[in-house]
Formats: sequence, structure tokens, C-alpha cells
Amino acid sequence: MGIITKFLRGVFYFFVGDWIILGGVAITLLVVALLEKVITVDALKGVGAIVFLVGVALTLFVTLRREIFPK
Amino acid sequence: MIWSAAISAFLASVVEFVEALTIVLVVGVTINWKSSLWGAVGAALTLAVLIGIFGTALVVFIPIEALRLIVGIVLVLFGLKWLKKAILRYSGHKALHDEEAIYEEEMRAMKARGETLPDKIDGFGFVTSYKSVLLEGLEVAFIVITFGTSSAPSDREKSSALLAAAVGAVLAGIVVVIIGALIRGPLTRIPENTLKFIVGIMLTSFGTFWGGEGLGIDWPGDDLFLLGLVLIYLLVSFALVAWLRTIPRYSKAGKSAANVGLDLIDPITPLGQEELQ
Repeated sequence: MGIITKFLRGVFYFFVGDWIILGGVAITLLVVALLEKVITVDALKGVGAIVFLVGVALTLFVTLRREIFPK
Repeated sequence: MIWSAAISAFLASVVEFVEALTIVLVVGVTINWKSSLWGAVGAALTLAVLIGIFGTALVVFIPIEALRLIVGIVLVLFGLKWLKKAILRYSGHKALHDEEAIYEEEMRAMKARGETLPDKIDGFGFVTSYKSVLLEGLEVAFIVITFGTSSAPSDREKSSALLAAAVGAVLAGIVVVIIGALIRGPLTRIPENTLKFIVGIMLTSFGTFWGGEGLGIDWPGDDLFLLGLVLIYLLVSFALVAWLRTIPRYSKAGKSAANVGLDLIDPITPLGQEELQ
């Protein structure tokens, strides 16, 4: 159990090391994937791209805010 | 020689090679050349094995969309991690731990004395370089296969059209590598933290681009939109730096940065691997 936890921690710290970034990117991807599936109107096709950009920028803002104002 | 196949493959491959070179260069300059180049060599070998096994059926067996999505996600995660640290430093909010300060001072002193810095393979650098080159290399292989097979006037000329497309792609690779070797020197003169900030922007932009493509987003202007993404993330980062500068500086170590002095948390200092974690 200890080895598995250590391994998972190692993977997490190697790739991200920040739960807010991981959560923010995951939520963004889920929303964009959902939008790309749901939106069929050509005029609204760019919404997914905008949501992707806003999601990534928001993730950066939230993680910086947390760094400056830790609980 | 079927020139239409060669020229179109050359032009399309140049774009892909430039994208791969960007990542290899920034990893080489910011981490070390050993990690960057071994990552690129590893990717080239993987690609050679894949082509050897699948041949032109590569297009059928490798799910490029899924690969783009995976590489895109990892690059966004890497990029945001770097960007966060760089923005904190630029805004004066990141105080160094003492051990890191000592280590970085040693590195600076070694550089000043003209001594060689430790040149071990860094996992982050290797993986970043490897997956970027692998993805772009696969895209070049796809270009060669699709352009080669589609520009052949008849089935009998398919192999010569494929050869012409491959020649075009190889020439594109040679041209891009020569350009990379030429701009490598000037790149090393850019301050280290500025470069790390640029790496964060680049990785996040490429990650967004590929991740978006993997999810089915059609970016306006195709690969040219990468420049737009770079610009957007630069603007966002500058806005965040400006916002953070309005907040009184405080370090986790309990020291006010105003007491420490901005020169101790200057943006030129390199980020240690521990700090990135």
C-alpha cells in the first residue's frame, strides 16, 4: 500500500504537484468535451475553444490566488 | 520525382518540425541539452520502430486524436506549473528556500567561472521533449503517407510518390534543424527566468492547441492560431503579474519580501526541480 501511494504521489508531483491545476484542467476538459458533443450548430462551434481558454486562464488565477492567500 | 508530393510534404512538414524544435530548444536552454536531445532521439527511435512495424498502415493503427489529447493535457499541466512559479517570481511573491538560494548561488558562481554545470538527464525535460517530438514526428509521418498516396497519379506510381513526399519531409527536417542550431546561441543569452516564463507560455499554448484538437476543436487558422494562443496567454500572465504586484508581498517563510529585498527574489534566478514540485 505504501509503495502504491508513494508511486502515485511521485506521478502526481512529476506531472502537476498542484491539486487546483489538476482539478481546473480536468473540469475544463470535461466541459469542453461535453460542449463539443452537444453543440451541433456551426455558428456555436467556437464556444468550446473559448471555454478551453477561459478554463485554463481561470485555473491559473485560482491557483495563484490560493498561493497568495493560503487558508 | 513527383514534385507536387515533395513540395507539399516539405511545406506541411516544416510547420510540424518548427513546433517540435520550439519545445526541444526551450527544454535544452532552460533544463539541459542532454535531457532535451535524448528525449528527441528517444522519440525518433520510437517513431522509427512504429513506422517499421506499421508502414503506411500507421494512419489506421495510431489514434492521432487520442495522442494529441494526451500530449495536450500533459503539456497544459506542465505549462501551468511553470507559469505559476514564473508569475509569482515576477510579481515578487516567491521567496526562495535557503537551500535553493545556496544551490542557485553555486550554479551562478560556477557559470561565472565558466565551469560546466551538472548535466544529468532530467525526467521532466526528457519527457517534454520526447512526447512533443513523437507527436510532431507522427504528424510528419501522416503527412508523408497521406500526401504521398493522394498525389500519386496511379497505383503503380504510389511508391515513388511516397518516396518524393518522404524526401520533402526529410529536407524540411534538415532546414529546421539548421535554423535551430543557428538560433540556439542567441537563445542562451536570454535571462533564465524569462526563458522559464516563455517555456510556461509555450507549453500551455501548445497543450491548449493539441488538447483542443484532440477534443475536436477546429482552431481558426489551424497551426497559425498557436501564435494567437501565445499572445492570449502572455496578456493573461501580464495581467496576473500586474494584479499580484498590487498585493502586499508575503512569503510562506514568514518574511516580508519588502524586508528581503526584491533582488533576492529577482526573476532571473532559476527554478529548482524541487521547487517545481
